Amino acid sequence: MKKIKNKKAKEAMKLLKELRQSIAKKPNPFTGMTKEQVIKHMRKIREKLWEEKLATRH
Amino acid sequence: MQLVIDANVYILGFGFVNDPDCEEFLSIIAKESSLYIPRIFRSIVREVSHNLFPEDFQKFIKFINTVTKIDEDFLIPFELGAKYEAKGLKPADALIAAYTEWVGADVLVTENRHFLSRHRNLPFKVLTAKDCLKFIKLSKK
Repeated sequence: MKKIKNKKAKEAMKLLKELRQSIAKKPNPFTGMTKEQVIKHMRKIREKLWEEKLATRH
Repeated sequence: MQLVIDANVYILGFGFVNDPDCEEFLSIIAKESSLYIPRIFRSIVREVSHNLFPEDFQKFIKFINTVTKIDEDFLIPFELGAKYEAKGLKPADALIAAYTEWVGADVLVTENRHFLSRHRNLPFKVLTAKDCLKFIKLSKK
């Protein structure tokens, strides 16, 4: 059981590392933004997606 | 311990901007997802994917599928969402709060101040990644 957990953890760490590396190689949509600005941006995306979701229901 | 992780924590933890707390937090989730079980639903996946190139979205889904499974939005009871809207949360935020209660998670991890300022009388903790790291360290003692 411990081996399975370790295997899963290794795989998850590998995937997270690959994802971070891949993101770092591409144009960053948050360039020049502070953490607070990123959070605000994410709130706007949430609201936009929520409105889109509502629109598809009506 | 079950944790609902908000989209902003994923984005900050992926390294788009320098945020060592969110990065460390996601690394702990990756390493110890059997102890700190992340929970996620479709809306959060969509919010995260909105900022990722298709190739990275696939990597994100692979990562998520390794540490947990994705729940669908329609599973979340409508009444729970309405309850949180009545408490003053915006509908999309209310859905996250409802999901967190519905899955019985211990913590909602978010950097969103709207949640952090309305955390009283909730059946779960609302913590930033930094505070959740402290909470995890304390729970190990």
